[in-house]
Amino acid sequence: MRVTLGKWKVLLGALLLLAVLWIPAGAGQSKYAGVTLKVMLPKGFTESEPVYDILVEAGKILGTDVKVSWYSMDELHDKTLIDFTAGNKAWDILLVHSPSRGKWADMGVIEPLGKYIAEHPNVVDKAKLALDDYFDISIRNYTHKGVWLGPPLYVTGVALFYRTDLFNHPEEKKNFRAKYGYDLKEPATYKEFRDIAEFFTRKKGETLAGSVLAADFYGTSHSNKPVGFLWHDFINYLMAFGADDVYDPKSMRPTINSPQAIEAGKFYVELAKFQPPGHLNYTSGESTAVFAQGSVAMIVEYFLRVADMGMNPAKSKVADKIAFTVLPSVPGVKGREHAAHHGGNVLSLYGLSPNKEAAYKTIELAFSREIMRKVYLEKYVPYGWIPPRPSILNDPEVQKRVPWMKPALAKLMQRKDIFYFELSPLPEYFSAIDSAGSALHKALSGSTTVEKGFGEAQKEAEAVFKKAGYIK
Amino acid sequence: MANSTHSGSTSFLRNPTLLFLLPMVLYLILWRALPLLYTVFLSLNDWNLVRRPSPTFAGLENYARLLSDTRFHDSLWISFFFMVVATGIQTVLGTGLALATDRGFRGKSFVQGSLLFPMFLTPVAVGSIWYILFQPSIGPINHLMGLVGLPSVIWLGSASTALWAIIIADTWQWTPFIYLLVLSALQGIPETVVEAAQIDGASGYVIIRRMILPLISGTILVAALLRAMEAFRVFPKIYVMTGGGPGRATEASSILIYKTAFRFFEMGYSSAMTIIMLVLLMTAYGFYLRVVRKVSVEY
Amino acid sequence: MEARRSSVHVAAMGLMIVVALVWTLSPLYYLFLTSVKSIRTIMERPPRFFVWPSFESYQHILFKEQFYQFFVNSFVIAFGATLLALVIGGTAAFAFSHWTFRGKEPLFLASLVGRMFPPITTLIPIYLMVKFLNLLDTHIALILIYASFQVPLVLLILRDFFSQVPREISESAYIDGSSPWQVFLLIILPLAKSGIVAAGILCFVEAWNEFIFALVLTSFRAKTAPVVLATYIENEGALQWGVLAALGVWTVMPTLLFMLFLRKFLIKGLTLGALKG
Repeated sequence: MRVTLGKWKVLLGALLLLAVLWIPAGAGQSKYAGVTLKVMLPKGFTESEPVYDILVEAGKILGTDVKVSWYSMDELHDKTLIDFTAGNKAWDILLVHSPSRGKWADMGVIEPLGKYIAEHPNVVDKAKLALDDYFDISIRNYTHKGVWLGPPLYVTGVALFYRTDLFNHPEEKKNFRAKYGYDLKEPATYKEFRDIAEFFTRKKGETLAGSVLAADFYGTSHSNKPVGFLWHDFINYLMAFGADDVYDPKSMRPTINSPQAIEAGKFYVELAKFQPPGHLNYTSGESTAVFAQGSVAMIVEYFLRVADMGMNPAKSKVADKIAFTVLPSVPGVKGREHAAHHGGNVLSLYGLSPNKEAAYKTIELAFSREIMRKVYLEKYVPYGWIPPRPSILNDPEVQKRVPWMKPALAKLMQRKDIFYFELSPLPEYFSAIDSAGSALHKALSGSTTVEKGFGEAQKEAEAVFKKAGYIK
Repeated sequence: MANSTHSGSTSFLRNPTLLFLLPMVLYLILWRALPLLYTVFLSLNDWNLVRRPSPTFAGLENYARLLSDTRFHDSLWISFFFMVVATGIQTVLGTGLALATDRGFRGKSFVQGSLLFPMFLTPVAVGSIWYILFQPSIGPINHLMGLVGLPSVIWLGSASTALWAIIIADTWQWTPFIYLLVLSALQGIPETVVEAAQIDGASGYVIIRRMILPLISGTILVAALLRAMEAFRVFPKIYVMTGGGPGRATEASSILIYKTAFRFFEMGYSSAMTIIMLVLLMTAYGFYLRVVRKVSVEY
Repeated sequence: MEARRSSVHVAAMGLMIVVALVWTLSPLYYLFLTSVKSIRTIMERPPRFFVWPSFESYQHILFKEQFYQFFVNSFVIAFGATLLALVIGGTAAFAFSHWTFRGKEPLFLASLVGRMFPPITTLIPIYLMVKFLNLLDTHIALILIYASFQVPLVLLILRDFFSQVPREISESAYIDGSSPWQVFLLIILPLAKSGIVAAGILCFVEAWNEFIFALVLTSFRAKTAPVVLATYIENEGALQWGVLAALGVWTVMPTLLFMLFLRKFLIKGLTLGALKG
C-alpha cells in the first residue's frame, strides 16, 4: 500500500515537473505549432532558394510545417489566379512576380504585409521586422499605393557588367582611341555604350585581345524574347531617354509613340547588330549564360543573376574577368541618370489564406536579421544571394568572404544619383506592353520601323485605355 | 438477326443500343457539355477579373467586338494554316512509313518501336528540345547546316520561318501518331488476301494502290481528323518556343485565347473567342465527315 | 508481305527507313546529351555533340526534387483515365458501328465537339465542379476529367475498327442466340485488339502529357510529371535546360517500357487475318 502510494507520488511529481518545464518552453511556439503553411515558389529565380531556406528555418523554430510546391513563374501566376477566382483557400504564402503585385494587391489576391501589420499591431515583433534595416530604395520600391507589400528578397537592381580583360587590353585600348577619339573605359553615356558594343563585335577569325576568335564575338546581348523579357530590357533605355513606361501617369494617356520613346526605340534597334543572332528569342537566363560563356563583351542584367551565373567559377568561363558599374545615361535628360530597373518580386500573404497569423510570423522570423544572416553565411555566400539588409552586407565577416560586396554597395546602393524605377501596377499595363513589345520586336527583326510600329501600338493601347475608362 | 433499328419502342432497359450509348452520353454531358454551356454563358458577359469581381451580362457585345478584331482573325488564320499543313505532312509521312515498315525485316520491332518514341514526350519537353536545336548560335541545326555550306537561319526569331520551325517540331512529335494508327490498320489486313493478289502477278505498287489504301483509307482519314483537331488547338509547343512571336507570327488562336484570359484578364471575351473557334471547327468537321462517308469503304 | 521485288526497291525502302530513324532519334539523342552536359558547356559555341557526361542534373532531380512521386501520380492517373475512356468509348463505338438509329449522325458529331476547343477554355467551370465535389488535388479528379477528353478519341478510333469486323460474324452469332453483350465482349473486342491497343496507347500518352488541368487541379498530393517538367521551362533567372532535359528523358522512360510491353499486340496476323481468309 505505502509503496504504491509512494510510486504514485513520484509519478505525479514527475508529471508536474515535466509540465512546469514543458509549458514555458512550448508556450512561445505552441500557438503556431502544427500549423501547415502552404507556399508557392517559382523555380529558376535566384532568390527562390534562399527564400525557401529562410522560411524553412523559421518554420523549424516556430513549429510551423512549411510545405512548398514549386512552379515556374507563369504556372504560379495562372494557378494563383484560378484558385483565387474560385475561392480556393489552399495557399498561405506566395512569391509574386513584380508585374503582377500591384494588380493582385488591388484585387485582394495577396494581402500586403503592410496592411496586415497595420491591422494587427500586437502580433508584430518590431525587432524582428526591423524595417529600418532595409535600403530606402527597397522600401520605396516595395510600396504600392502607400502600402508596403512585403520584404525585398534581394538587392541591387540591374547593373552593367563588362569584361576587364578586354577593357584593359593595351592593344584594344589603342585601337579604340584611334577609332573613336576617346579612351576606352566604363561607358558613361549610351553613345559610348554603343561605340564599345560596335568596337567589340567581331567575326570568327578576327583578333580579340591578342588571340584569334574561334567563333563570332558580340558587343552586348539583351534578352529580347517577346514580350516580357524584351520590355524589361528595353525599359532601361526608355527611362534613360526620358520617355514614360507606356503611359503618362498624370494624364493616364498612353505615350508609346512619344518622341522620346521613338528615339529610345530606334537606338535599341540599332544595337541589334551588335548582339548574338539568337537575341530575338533570348530569355534573361540565356542572355546571361552567353555572357558567362565568354561570347559577349558587356551585358546589362540583374546583379544577382550575373553573380550567380557569371562570377561563380563553377558556372562561368569568365568568372575572374568581370567588373561592374552603373548603367549609362543620356546626356541632357534630367532626373533619369543611370536609369535602372530595380526588380520587385515580393513575398506576400495569400488573400484567402486561413492561417495569416502563422504565415505572417513565419515570414517575419524568416526575414529577421539573425535568420537571414545565418542562412546566407551557411549556404549562399559568395555568389548565391545578396540579402537585402544593409547590416548584413556591411558585416565584416560577409565583406571578407565576398570581396566584391563593398564596391557593389558603393557603386550601386549607396549612390544617390541613380534613378531606380519600378514597373507600373496598372492592370492594363500588360496589354499595352504586349502591343508595344510586339511592335518593337518586329522592328528588331526588320519587318517594320519603330515609328510605324509604335504608332500602331499607341492606337491599340488607346483603345484599351478608353475601354478601361482612363481616357475619353 | 442483326438488330438494325431501335426506336424508343422497346423498353428502356431492354434496349441494347441505349444501354451501350448511355454511359458515354451521360459522361460527356456532365464533363463536356455542361462546362461548355458555362463557357457560352461567360461569352455573353463582360468579365474582367481585375476590374469586376463577377460577370456582368453584356449580350452579344463580345461577338460584335470579335467581328472587327483583326488580331483574332489573324490568329484563326495561323491556327488553320498550321492545322492543314502540319496534318497534311504528318499524314503523308505517317502513312508512307507505315506502308514501308509493314513487312518482315530484321530489326523490325526495333524500328517500329523507335519510330513511335517522339509521341511519348511531353509537349513541353518537345518544345524545349526543339527550341535548343533551333538556337541560331549554339544550336546544332545551324551548326550542321554551316558545315555543309548552308547559311544560318534564324529559325525562331524571323517571322517567315518561325511557324515552319514549329511545324517541323510538331511533325517530329506527331507523325508517330498517324504511323501507329495506320500500322494497326495494316495489321488487320489478312496475309492471305495480299498473297492471292501477288500470286496473280500484281506488282507491289498496284497492290498498295488498289487494294491496301482503300482498305485503310477509313483509318487514315480518322487519324488525320484526330490530328487536325489536336493541331488546331496547339499550345504548349508554341508557348515554349516563341511565345507567339516574332511579332505575332506564331500567335495561334489558342495562344491568343490564353493571353486574353490570363494576361489581359478578359474572361468573357476569351470565352467568346472559344465559341467562335468551336463553331468554325464544327462546320469544318461536319463537312469533312460527310466527305469521309463517301470515300471510305463500308462493310 | 514477303514478295519478290527489285533490289533498287529494297534499297529505296531501306534508305527511307534509315532516314526516318535518324530524323526520329537524333533530337532524342540531343535531349539526352543536354541532360548530361554541365552548365558550363550548355551554352557553348559551337555546340558539342559528345561530352564527358556529368550527372549533376539527374542528381538534382533525384535527390533535391524527389521527382519519382510525381511520376507515380502520372502513371496512376493516366492508367485509370485510359481504362475508363476505353470502357465508355468502346461501348458507344460498338453501338455506332453496329446499329443505325435516329439521330446517329448528329450524336456522333456532338460527341466529337469535346475535342474541338482548347481545354483551357473550360478550365474554370470544371475547376468549380471539382471543387464542389471536394476532389481538388486528388487522382480521381484528373482520371475523370482526362477520360472525358479521351472518350471522343476512343469513339472515333474504335468505331472505325469495329466496323471492319465482317457483318457475317456477328450476324451468325445473333442467329445462334447471342446477346449484343456477348457479341461485343466475345467477338468484336478480340478481333479489334490492335485497334484497342492503339487507342489505349494514345489515351495513355495524352493523359500522361496533359498539363493545364493537372497544374490547376493539383498542388501537393496528385501533382503530375508534366507540371514538374514545365516548372523548368523558364530561363529567367537561371539556365535550367540541363534539369529540364533530364526530366524529359525520365518522362519518356516509363511510357516507353509500357509500350514495349504492349507491342506484341501489334504483331500482325493475330486472329483477324485468319478469320477473313
